[in-house]
Amino acid sequence: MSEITTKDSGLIAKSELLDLIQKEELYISPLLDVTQIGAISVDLRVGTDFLASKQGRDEYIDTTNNDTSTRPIKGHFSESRRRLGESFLLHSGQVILFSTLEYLKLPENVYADLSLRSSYSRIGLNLSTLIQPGYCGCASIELVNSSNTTIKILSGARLIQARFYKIPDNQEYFGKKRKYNCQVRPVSSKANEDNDLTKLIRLNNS
Amino acid sequence: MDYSAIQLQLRQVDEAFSRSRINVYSDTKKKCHFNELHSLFVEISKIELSALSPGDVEIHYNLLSFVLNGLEYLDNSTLNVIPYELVSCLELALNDWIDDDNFIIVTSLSNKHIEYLLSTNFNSETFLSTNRYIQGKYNLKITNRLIRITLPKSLSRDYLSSAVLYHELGHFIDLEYNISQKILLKKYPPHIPIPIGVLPSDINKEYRHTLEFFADLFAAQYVNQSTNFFLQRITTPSRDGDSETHPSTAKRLQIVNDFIDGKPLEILDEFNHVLSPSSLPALKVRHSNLDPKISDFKNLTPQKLKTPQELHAIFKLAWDVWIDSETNFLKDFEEKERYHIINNLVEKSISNYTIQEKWNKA
Repeated sequence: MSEITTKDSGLIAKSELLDLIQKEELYISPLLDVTQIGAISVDLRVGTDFLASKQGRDEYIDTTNNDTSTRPIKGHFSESRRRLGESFLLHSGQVILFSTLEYLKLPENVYADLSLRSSYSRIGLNLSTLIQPGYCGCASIELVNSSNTTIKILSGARLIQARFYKIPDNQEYFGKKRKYNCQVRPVSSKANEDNDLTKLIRLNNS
Repeated sequence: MDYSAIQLQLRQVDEAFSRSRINVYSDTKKKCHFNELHSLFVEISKIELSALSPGDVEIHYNLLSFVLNGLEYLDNSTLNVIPYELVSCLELALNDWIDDDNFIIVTSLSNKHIEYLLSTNFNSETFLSTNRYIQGKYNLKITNRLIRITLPKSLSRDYLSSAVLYHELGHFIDLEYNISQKILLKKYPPHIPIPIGVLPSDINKEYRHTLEFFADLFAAQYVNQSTNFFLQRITTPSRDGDSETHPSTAKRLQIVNDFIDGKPLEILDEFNHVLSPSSLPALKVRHSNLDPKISDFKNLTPQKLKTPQELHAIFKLAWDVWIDSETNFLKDFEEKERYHIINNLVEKSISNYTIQEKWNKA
């Protein structure tokens, strides 16, 4: 089967991935095993830090408010860490956030589409994340167990596959203020810091 | 002291163990230590306290204090809490100085603003005598000694500030091998009267200052001037001066600068003249130089580290980048974000190095 390669846009295949990595235009580190680079994707690993959703005294997570009257979003998650190779349980219906073990830096004309490797998607795990062109940091992944069974995963497991796509124009990642810069651990949502919220609330109150 | 003091302690220790049972540690040595402390507690719980002699009451009170203190540090050294990357660096530094594998670096996270210190309550003498006693009485043994370091909770992921933990490790090495004490004994031999005009308090002050100089030089071997930068940050120049326990910041900065610049340094020679006959390594530069202008940080990526010398150098790199952050590649970020980015990159640099090392050995 011929490899899919494009010059200006589209899915980036292995030979070009290797070239970008070798030139450090696409940064993926640590890349513990070169077999992580496949024909059209790169396997990424579960990192060592986790945020697990927990139920507390509040009825809901408030994404509309960032003042001190409400519990911060991160208060709805508990932090934990695992040694590489140690297991983590994801209970039925639970959401966890973790970072990829690998720190990524994407070229400004490349974005990444992250999904589960099929071995994991077929047991009831769900994940879908897009990484913007120019992003740098460990990718924060939201994983949901939509099965009716607890699932045990290992820190360091090759859970994710990343497909990289070229776009015609460079996008300046830091051209606007970003909430998540060079993150190396999972960071809970900052949805309540969106600039639009103040305007929307004002609109509603007028 | 009567045995009722031990009764109270036993309740405290029992409560502490019930909370600590679920702890998950970053390595098996900590778990082993926990189990050994628990075994000791179980044996002490079985004895008839009222039958203890006053001397034995005091011994057991001290044993339970040892257990409680150990638990406090183990609780703060669980996988979720321990500043793992920092401790990894310290462990590598420790390996340069101690062959014995029976030490565990543990941390306690303090609520105090700037509290970095080494606990000296349980030194090697205390540890040996404790083990002798419990081996004789209970046929038990504590395998590992804890190196107990306190750092501020709010700064546990602040790698620029926490480079000073190398200074605290330096204190441990000094006290373990009595380095500063040997220097003072050379200067004031016990069989010779103290010179007129010199008070015992002067000698004590000189000893305390010598401890600080050793710890500063020890740290500088690894983290270059990182501890200097931190000291400058927390010192008010108009209030700087010698205290009973510490030399002035100005003196400390100068000694480290001279060491790094390779200038002749009398106190360095004094330390090395004591270290050498004790078959200990000399104080010397043990880090590489990472140029911030060509470092990987410029690309907002972790620094690739290939050796322990480069690993230790990450702290100096972080300070160099921070000091110039208003004009370098970080200049377009807000100040708070710049600091955050540097700390994140340090953490990931260390993490990548340790993970790669473990992967290669597995």
